[in-house]
Amino acid sequence: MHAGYDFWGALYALFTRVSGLALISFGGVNTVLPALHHQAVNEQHWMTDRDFANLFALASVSPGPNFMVLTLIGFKAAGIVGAIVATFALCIPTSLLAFAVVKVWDRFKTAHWRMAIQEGLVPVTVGFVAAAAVLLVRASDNSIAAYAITAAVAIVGTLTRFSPLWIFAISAIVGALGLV
Amino acid sequence: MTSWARQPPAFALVEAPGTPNVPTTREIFFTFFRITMLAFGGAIAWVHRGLVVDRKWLTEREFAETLSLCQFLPGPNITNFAVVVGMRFRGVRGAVAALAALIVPPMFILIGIGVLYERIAHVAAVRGALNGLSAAAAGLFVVLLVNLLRSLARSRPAVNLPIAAASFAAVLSGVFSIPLALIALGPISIAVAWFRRR
Repeated sequence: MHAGYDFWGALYALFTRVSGLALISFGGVNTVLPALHHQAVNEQHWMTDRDFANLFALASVSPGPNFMVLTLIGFKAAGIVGAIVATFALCIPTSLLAFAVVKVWDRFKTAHWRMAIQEGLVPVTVGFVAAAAVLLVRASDNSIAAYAITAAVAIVGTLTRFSPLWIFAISAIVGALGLV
Repeated sequence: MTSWARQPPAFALVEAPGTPNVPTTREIFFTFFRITMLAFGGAIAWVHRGLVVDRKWLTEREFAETLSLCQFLPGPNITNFAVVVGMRFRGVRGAVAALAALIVPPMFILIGIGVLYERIAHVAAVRGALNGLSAAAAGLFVVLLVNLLRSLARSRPAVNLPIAAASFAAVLSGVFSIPLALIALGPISIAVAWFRRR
């Protein structure tokens, strides 16, 4: 941690930004990934673009849901306390909301307005996921080899029924040899 | 979006059915612990396998209805799912057990990975391996996007694809933040969905 680093300020920013974005993450955390990236890299300067790509990749290959990249972002921002604060800021407010809504869900689950809201938000949030995909590719791929790996996973994952996971292992090995 | 959402309700989410399949809090905890440890590339598929196929705590129909609620709510679908399923079987204790099992063990694993990252990310071979992994993870995210676009293209693409393109351009260009884009484009898109459902 560099001089002048404001631990409490970082914790406050983590809690407010993460819980605020979680509460508007209709369709899951991937839909607010561009905003998380903007906060972590450009606004709060917790990490570089490359760090963001690395942490996202580490969360993808670790046990647990992929949204737990937030734990790693919190760790980078404010250490172990930051990791815990970010994880809970993500899960607790949205869980309380789920807790409240489940009790009244049966009353409006077939309501016209409820389904219109759900349907209407889908195309908007798919646009956000598309923006997140561009940001991730930009942050991850700085060489032709890296673009080739991204394309290989994308093609195998979309056009074939083979799991693209073995490409992860090959990619890590090829990268470790200094070829990416 | 989904056809079953228009069907009449078949059961109440908050009431456990009178079957012998009501799990204990402990069983809820260990089932969600197993799900989170196996979850790789889309945790909801593992929830389906764990709760519907293996444990038979939910029927296919109940799973689909619960997922509909979880997708309606903001936040990760899987944590919402844990809260709803935990509540349904064992009230607040069940919800806390399911949520804790889901996030606390991976949180400690990721903290360990974070500590390692700070220590060894500068080593050339590690940095290289991370470059390779990042490129692959970005590819997997593209797969997820393509799947979303495919299902969007199946339901009224003439309306949905331009809206998605507008929100993509607004956010990527930095002209709109995500909250602003939701406020600007959300009501338009919801109004379109409202009128075409009538």
